[in-house]
Amino acid sequence: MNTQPVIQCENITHYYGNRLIYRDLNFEVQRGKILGLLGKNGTGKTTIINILNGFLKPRSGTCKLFGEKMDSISPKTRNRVGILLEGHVQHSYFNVEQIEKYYAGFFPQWDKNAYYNLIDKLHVTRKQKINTMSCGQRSQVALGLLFAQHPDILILDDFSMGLDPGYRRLFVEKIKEFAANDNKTVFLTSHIIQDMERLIDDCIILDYGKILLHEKTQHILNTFKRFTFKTNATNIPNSNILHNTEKLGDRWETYSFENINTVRDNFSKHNINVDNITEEKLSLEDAFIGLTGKY
Amino acid sequence: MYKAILYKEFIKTRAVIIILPTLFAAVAVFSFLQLFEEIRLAGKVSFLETVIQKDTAMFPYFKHLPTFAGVLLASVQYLPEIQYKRLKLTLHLPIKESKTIITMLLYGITIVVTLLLITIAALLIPLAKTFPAEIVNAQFMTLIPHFIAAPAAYLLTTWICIEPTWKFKIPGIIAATYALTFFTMTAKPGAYMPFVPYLIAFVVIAFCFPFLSVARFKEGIQ
Amino acid sequence: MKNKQLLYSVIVAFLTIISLWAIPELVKTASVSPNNAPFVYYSAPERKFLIRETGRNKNKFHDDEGKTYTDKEYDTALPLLNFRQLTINGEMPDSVLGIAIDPRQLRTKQVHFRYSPIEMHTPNIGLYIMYESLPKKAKLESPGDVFQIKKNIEFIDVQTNAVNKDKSEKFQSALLKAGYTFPEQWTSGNLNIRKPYDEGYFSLDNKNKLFHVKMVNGRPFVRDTKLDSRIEPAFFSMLEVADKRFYGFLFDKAGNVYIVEEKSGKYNALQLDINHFNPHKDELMILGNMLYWTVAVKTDNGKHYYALDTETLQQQRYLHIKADDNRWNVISKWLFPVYLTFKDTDKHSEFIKPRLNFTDRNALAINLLLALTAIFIFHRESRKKTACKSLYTLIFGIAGIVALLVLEFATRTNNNKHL
Repeated sequence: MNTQPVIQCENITHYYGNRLIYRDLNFEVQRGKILGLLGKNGTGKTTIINILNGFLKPRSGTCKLFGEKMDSISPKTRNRVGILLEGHVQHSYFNVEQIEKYYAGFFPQWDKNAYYNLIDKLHVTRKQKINTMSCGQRSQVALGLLFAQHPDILILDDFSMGLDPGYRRLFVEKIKEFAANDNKTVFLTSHIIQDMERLIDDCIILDYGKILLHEKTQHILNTFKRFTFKTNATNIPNSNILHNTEKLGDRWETYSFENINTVRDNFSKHNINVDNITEEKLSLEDAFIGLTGKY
Repeated sequence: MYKAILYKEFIKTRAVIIILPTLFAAVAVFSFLQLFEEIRLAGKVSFLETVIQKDTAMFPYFKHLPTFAGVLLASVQYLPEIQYKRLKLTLHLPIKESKTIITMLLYGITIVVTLLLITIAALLIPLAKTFPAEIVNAQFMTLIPHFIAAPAAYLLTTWICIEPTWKFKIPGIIAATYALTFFTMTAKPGAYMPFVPYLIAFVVIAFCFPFLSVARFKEGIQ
Repeated sequence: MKNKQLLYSVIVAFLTIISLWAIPELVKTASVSPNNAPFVYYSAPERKFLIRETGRNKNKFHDDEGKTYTDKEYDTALPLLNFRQLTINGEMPDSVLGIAIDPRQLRTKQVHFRYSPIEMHTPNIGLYIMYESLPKKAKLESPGDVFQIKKNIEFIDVQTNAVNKDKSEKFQSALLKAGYTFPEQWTSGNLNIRKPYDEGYFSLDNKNKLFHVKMVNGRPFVRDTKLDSRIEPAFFSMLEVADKRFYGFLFDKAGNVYIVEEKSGKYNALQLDINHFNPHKDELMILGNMLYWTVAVKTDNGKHYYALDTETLQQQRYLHIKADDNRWNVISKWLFPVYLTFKDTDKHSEFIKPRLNFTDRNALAINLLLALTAIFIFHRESRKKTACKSLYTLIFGIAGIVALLVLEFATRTNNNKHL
């Protein structure tokens, strides 16, 4: 069994002008995983997708796709990679039929039925031009084309952008279905976290300039909690076990991977009396906000 | 795979593939109507004497039309690729990037050159039935540099369209505009002939210009 | 990466070529100044050249020895030029230098001729019109056909666009009978129907023999001029003079200029007594009257004026006026050691081709200055790159540094990293 990671990014450093996006970013995506790259707007999610696919030269560092460097990916490897660009960008001057005919010419493993199974569920004719479709319909065209290609890895950049909840749910289900087959890998980015919870196995949370966290989604959901409490203290000192501590009205809230006792002990160590400390389990979205903070 | 690329280019440009020959045909017909009118008014003898004495160009409307054709075709072919950076989709295809770009460029060049060859034939064959070979030859020599402008304009426009930054586009537009004036200077029939090999050489060299823009696009230069 | 560097180099070369043409062209357009060459004419009574200044010194008159003249004195000193004005004023003399002035002869002996090398360096359609040299009516009429004379002579009927075999054969035989050897090298005549009369064409055959070809009463007239075998004709320029004294001007490869006359069927080339004339580079203007011809020759080092006796064409007087540098010449000598044009800057050729125009070594100073500036501008790059760019600027000057700067501006990232 091939244990080489499908995606490897090593020491990626990039700036836009003088603005640092990240320094020495390192991560891997193992075969058969669904990895979500989460982050606020501007943290560099699309940037890493562009770097990975050879559409952007980083200031330093390398990315590899199936072991091939990003600036020299072979056609054979590109055949195994299905990519969805941000905004579901497609050749929208084609109609439904034409775009399938076009892409079919490139992929020997092309499965026409996989495309039309999805398309025929939409209320569109085969002669309808893609640029006259709604955002949701266009996203399905994009998805249909990806499935017809039968890639080994799907790279989806912000697949939920502009989609209403129905289409977002459809996307999530279809991606799960795809990933369940035959050790397929999915690498996706999003800033709409609520969809990710049902979808991703592993999670990388990007903050400005660095990776904040790279963990299994389930681990985050099981261990990362919100704690609320009251205290007379006017200031809560920083701690490496607490995240984004802030006062809301007459109560304080903080977040931690530690259990309630460890959190309480932490306050005692700093001579802070806390009352009514409560612990809450979080959704992935709440956990994301807890880790990255509110705007 | 090449068929698929050509299919995409055809879909993008099919309106222009109809518009340009129609436009050229209309201008050719108009030119001939004007020519025949002048011959009727002045008499064929007097008309021909004027052509010989004054080195008259019989098809003046074709001076800038080929340049326009090249610019239009390249714009219609490549602006959609740049909109929303769709070129990424093209570059992501499982085919060597250079082959993709070469195929797209050859498609455009072939369209343009075919149009020009048909136009030259459509203009000069009827002319040969009416005037001596020397006149036909003189008109051919007048048209040739203007027609070579079409592939040059196509390649320069492609280069500029794909270039990702305005910082390079603007000097590119200025340089390309100047370069295209080389093809449309006013000159007597035959005066351009020493320059024609240089113009052809320029077209051959300009074929590589779009590759620089693609390389810069791939680097994500903004 | 290597390919990308090569592509950038190609673009720099492209931008340099454009700049090598466009920048001097813009400067030239901005610095255009009028041509203030004086008007020079030989005065028969004074036996000197009289000069009328133009430009800032407009309408100042003097002779070639520096003596100044008033307007009236000037008119009086040039009776053979200003005869119309003098006649209107009632001041026209009866004789000049003891020779009675016949008003009719005044007009018929006038010669106005201009030659520019562009006449030699212009493309030729290869079609000519053979007018009837002895027309029944007072004016010339279109013959209704045109002819070409290259490997043979062929007349093509304009209406039918078909070869007139009969006429073609007649002329072909006449040419061959006269000793004409095809293919033709050049044929020169006056295609304009608005001329006082027609004397056909002068054609140089493959063996450098000059033939006179015309149509008289519908029949071919072909004569070998049998000029002096030492004359190697380079070009012939037809001129229909009122007194029909000669056919036109012949320029030979040795730099001599002749008029071609014919007396009793014998052709003669009478040489103009002027210095070496290069028909590829020099311009010629002749203003002739019944006594003297004022011949002006424009060369690289100014204008040369000759007063020639009308009958013998022997030199009577000579004047050289150095050329005034126009504003563009002055500016270009300092800014552009070399610049590119596609049309001939001297307007001596119609042909379009790239021409490198070298100005003056002084302009290399600016290239050197720019090369040093380039070292400063590109100092952040590697030594090798900086040296290359500096050398490039030294060679191509303003055009080179503009091309490099455009590329620098377009490719520099905000963190000053060069691509």
